[in-house]
Amino acid sequence: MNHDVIINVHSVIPVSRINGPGKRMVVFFQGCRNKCAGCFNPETHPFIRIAEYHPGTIFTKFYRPGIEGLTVSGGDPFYQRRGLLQLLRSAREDYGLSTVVYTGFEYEMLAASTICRTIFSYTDVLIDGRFDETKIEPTMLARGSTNQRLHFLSNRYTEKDLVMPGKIELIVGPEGTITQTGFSKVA
Amino acid sequence: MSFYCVIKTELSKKKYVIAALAEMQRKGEITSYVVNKKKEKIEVDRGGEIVTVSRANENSNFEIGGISRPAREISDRMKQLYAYESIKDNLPLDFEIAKETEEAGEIVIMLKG
Repeated sequence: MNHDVIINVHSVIPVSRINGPGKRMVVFFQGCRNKCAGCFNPETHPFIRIAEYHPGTIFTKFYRPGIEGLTVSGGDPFYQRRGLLQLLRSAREDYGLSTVVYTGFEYEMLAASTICRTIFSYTDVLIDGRFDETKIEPTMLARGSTNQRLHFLSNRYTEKDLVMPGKIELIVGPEGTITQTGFSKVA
Repeated sequence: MSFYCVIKTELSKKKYVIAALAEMQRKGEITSYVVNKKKEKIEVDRGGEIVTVSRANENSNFEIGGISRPAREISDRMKQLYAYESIKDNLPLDFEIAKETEEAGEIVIMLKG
């Protein structure tokens, strides 16, 4: 494990059922310059320190047995490529998890980079493209807008696996804290 | 990217406090509760352990008093069920509950919209 890599994380949901196939840990990276109008998570845009973790620490702190995979969202995880690679590698090799990654960048642009191609080798599904609030996804497919593309980079999943059981997930924790996630929001 | 936000639950509305206590009683998690309407105070009995749920006035939040362990346990569970009742009662018209489950200490609600 390369311990010199640190990821600036906005937040982690240990178990979500709406951010990809099955139950998944979701890691929201901090920092994004895409500034998509109507973005769900504007507080993840600034490149400010929120919570810094070694990739392995994310698992030791948040991993719960029984989850199927890891989903990486943000922010945009491709602003922290070394950390993203280490996180995905650990997910697959150390925990046997599937991986889903969201990015506002386009696959073709990222694929020009060696490190991104290595990241893709540890990614089962890449959902790319900027959020377009004029093209809101009307179905239960796990994306914000219809222009965003699903790239199946392994044979583990197909599009039907990315059809979610709801549009919004509300997780009420044992102390009453409500975590809201998904591809729409309750005002 | 999917949406993410966290909301901390404050016990501000009496009707959800009572709804939460009623649900706890229904599930056998508390023995009984008695509402004193004049004093903004509710006495909760959990197998002989008594805690009080009270607030200074109608504009403040309810707080839980009593022996620390049962007070904390009842407070946490009450906040969770308060949040659940509040969510159900305040859903926008364009959303409906697709599924709800309780597992590993969490209540999970899926919404379709």
